[in-house]
Amino acid sequence: MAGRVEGKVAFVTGAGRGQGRSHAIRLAEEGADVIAVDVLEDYATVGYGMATQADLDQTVKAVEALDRRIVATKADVRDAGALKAAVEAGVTELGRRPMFMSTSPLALPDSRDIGNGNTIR
Amino acid sequence: MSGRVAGKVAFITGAARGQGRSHAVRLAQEGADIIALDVAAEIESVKRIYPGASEADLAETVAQVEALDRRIVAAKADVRDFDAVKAALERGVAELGHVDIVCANAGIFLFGEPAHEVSESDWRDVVDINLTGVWQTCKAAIPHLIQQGTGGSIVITSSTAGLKGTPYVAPYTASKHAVVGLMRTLALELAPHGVRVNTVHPTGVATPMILNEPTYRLLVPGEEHPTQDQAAAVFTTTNALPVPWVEPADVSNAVLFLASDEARYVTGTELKVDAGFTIR
Repeated sequence: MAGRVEGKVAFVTGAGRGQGRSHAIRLAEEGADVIAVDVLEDYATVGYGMATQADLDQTVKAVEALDRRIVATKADVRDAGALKAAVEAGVTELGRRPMFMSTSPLALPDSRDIGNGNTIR
Repeated sequence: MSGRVAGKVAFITGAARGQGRSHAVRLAQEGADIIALDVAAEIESVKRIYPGASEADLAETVAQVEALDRRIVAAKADVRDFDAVKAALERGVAELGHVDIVCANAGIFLFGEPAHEVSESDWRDVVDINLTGVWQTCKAAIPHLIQQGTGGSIVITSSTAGLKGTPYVAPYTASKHAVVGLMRTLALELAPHGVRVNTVHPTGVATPMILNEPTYRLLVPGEEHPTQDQAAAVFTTTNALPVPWVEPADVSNAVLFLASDEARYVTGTELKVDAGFTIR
């Protein structure tokens, strides 16, 4: 497999569906392994449902169908500890630090409800 | 032939060497045929800074594209001469069948004086080539893009100097800002036709335009014969990434993306290939 991101590992947040899943699959098509996270829970402030475990499972299946490896975890991007654990688990299994990170921020009606001091360091 | 721009034809100005040649080769690698244009002659005002491209340079571009089993129609023409640009393009379209990608890349770099001390002739040369030449390149190609009805992608070569002020580089900086305005206007005018228009903004690129002693002197003032290494150290401080400049291929990869259908909804964008120059 000689792809445009061959041999790299990509860390993708919001990977359960939508753009995040599309990024995971497109990068896998070009040779990357993937560390995927998604919150998989609804937010009271968001007027539409979040991705589900079944969605994230579908992302995993799609990446694996491309013969690429994927480590998928349920984690909230506001929870630095959970994110760190997800990355560490992925790096342990996939063998290198991810080369880049693709985030998919929420369009919240009221952004004051997010980021309660959970800054990622 | 497969490739990211397979079956398309790209019209490239300033194609004899540097970024223009690199764009021709990169697009040909991905399946495009090429209409190449270059003045292939010395320009009097530029001579004091760096030598002009030659007919041999343009012939080398032709050889490199043909080595990739792609077709190329090359013409010696000055972008300041609309009739010559139009004739070169018409000949290419007649031979290759259509035009889908336009790389308005030809440009010159003059510098050294504060804006109020720039000579009228220097000002005119830079603006005539870098701005009017770009417009004339687009003017020649757009009727084809509209008439063909199959969309298209115009990529205009701007610069970090198209986004930030640059002391002692007034005409160049003005011209590179001006093409952004042209890009935005064309992007709106041509969107109904599915034609996308974008600019690329490189930091310094390793080509004869900057790899010359007068440019090193701009970077290392007070030194009569600064070396490339001395200049590289200063160039590096202007970028965020620890590199002095980028290679022509780095810009070509951005052009390739914008030219390809991967960028089908990318229009009106200023794509920086600047190692972080403009965020400093």
